[in-house]
Amino acid sequence: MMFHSALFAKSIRDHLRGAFGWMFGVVALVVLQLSVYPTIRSSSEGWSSLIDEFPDVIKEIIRITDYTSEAGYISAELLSFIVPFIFVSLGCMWGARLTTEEEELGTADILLSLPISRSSIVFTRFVAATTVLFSISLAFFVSLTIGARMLDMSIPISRFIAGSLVLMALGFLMETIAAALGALTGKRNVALGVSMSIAIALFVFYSLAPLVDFFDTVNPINPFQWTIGTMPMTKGISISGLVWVLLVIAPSSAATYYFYGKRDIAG
Amino acid sequence: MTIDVNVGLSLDGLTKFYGAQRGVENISFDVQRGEVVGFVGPNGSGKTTVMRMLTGLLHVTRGSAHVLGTSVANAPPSIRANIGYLPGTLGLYKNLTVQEYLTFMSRMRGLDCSGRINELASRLSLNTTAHIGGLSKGTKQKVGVVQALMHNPKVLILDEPTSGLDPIVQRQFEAILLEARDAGAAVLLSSHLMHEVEELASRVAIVNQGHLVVVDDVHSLKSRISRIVSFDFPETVSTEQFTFCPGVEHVTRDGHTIECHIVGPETELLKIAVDLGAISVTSKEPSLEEIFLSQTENDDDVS
Repeated sequence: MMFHSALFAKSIRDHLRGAFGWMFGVVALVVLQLSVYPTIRSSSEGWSSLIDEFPDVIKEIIRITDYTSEAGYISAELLSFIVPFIFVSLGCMWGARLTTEEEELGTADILLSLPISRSSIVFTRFVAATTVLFSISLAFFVSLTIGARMLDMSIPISRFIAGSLVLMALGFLMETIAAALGALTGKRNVALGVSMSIAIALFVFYSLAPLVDFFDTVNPINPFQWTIGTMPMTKGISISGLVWVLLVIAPSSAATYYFYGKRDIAG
Repeated sequence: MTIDVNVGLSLDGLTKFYGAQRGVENISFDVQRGEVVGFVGPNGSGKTTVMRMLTGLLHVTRGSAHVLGTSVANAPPSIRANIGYLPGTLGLYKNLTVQEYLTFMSRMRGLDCSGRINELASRLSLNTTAHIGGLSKGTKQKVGVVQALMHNPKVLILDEPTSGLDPIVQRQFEAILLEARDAGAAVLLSSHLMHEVEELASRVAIVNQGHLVVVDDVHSLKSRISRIVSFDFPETVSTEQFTFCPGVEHVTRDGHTIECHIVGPETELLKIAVDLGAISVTSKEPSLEEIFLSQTENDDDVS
């Protein structure tokens, strides 16, 4: 399994336009949410009493405990739903694309007839997609750090690193699952649809875990619990959570290499 | 089994099944270095399946295929460095220019093929600054041809290489292909243009419905099928003696002319005609197209 710089450069180029768009979107979300925080902070008592009146069930579902605190606000607004789902969606899209795009465009015939192993091609494209995913999480980290400093927030930088890492981990995990499904089926729509469905189902399980005993029982094996569920903005990085993520990424990646190596490429 | 590395391609009982559905079965033939073998058959007969197994795109179900003596089933990817492949359905990266695409392919091979790319592009009148997304089918085909030939491969696997090319470029392509052959390349050429195959190939492999019908040199194939030999006589002669001549299938008479449909050697027939005082003889060789139709029709009858 080798890394091919030419294929890496081409894959990055293919992702570039989309990556900039998503990067802009994530930074815009961070800026938007942070720009609202001064209002929340200045009326924290009102917000606290408003949230106190929420039914406990709702508070548990949306995992709001200290909404008016700096870390609590960022957790609730940036690490509970929209931004994690952007990373999940990007992971699914780029993972599905990784193992199906060339075949669907008809370019796989020439690419796979080159003196390069299929595993090298998958590895290089994995590195490229993950680099782009990383750059978006880096944009999240940088914009959040600068924004927090501008608002005189006292959250340690390590919490921002932790928050960015869990987003990256979530995206990467879904990328490997979607890639494995693509390698198995050769169909991008199937890989994307199934991986997104898995992600949505896992998120529903995670959200309703405080309410449904069965969901709560299986919550320790839910990737959302290993990542955003560890409350990185308030508690910092969870090594065990990341280890669990890696324990899923490893077999998903292995399955991708195996299925892609065994595939008869559609003509 | 010892495989000669001077044999470009060697197929032995090559079989592909998609589940229970047969792709091709028991295909066996060789392509020597310095030889062009025409690979012909009706649509869906399995030509592309065989070519895609040779390039590693499809896994072999049974039998074996060797490229320069190395089995494609267990070969390291480096064996494909010796192969130039032009697929029947050509997919190119539309967001690149021709130059960017060909440079990318060279870099993926770990080579700098810029000199050969420029030479081939010039001979095929290919503008390398153009964007692939805006190219016509024929121009895209030229890009495919250049990428298959730019690294001077020892084995060429070409699936309908002149599809979409204009006659002038076709001629230029044929000249380039013959140069590659003369330089020692083994060429497996699939084409629906029988005159092209007849012109370029010394041997022809005909497949039909997933089976190899025949593989032989063009002259031998021609002698196997019925051809017409006609004789002019100064006066009307009987058809009887011709009817009983070995190999003659059918005899017709039109005035002083006798027309015989014959398979195999013509020696005995000519002797009879000379003895009867024939004043001229005309022999019409069957075209490869007629051979192809004859062979595939026979195969259809059997199946």
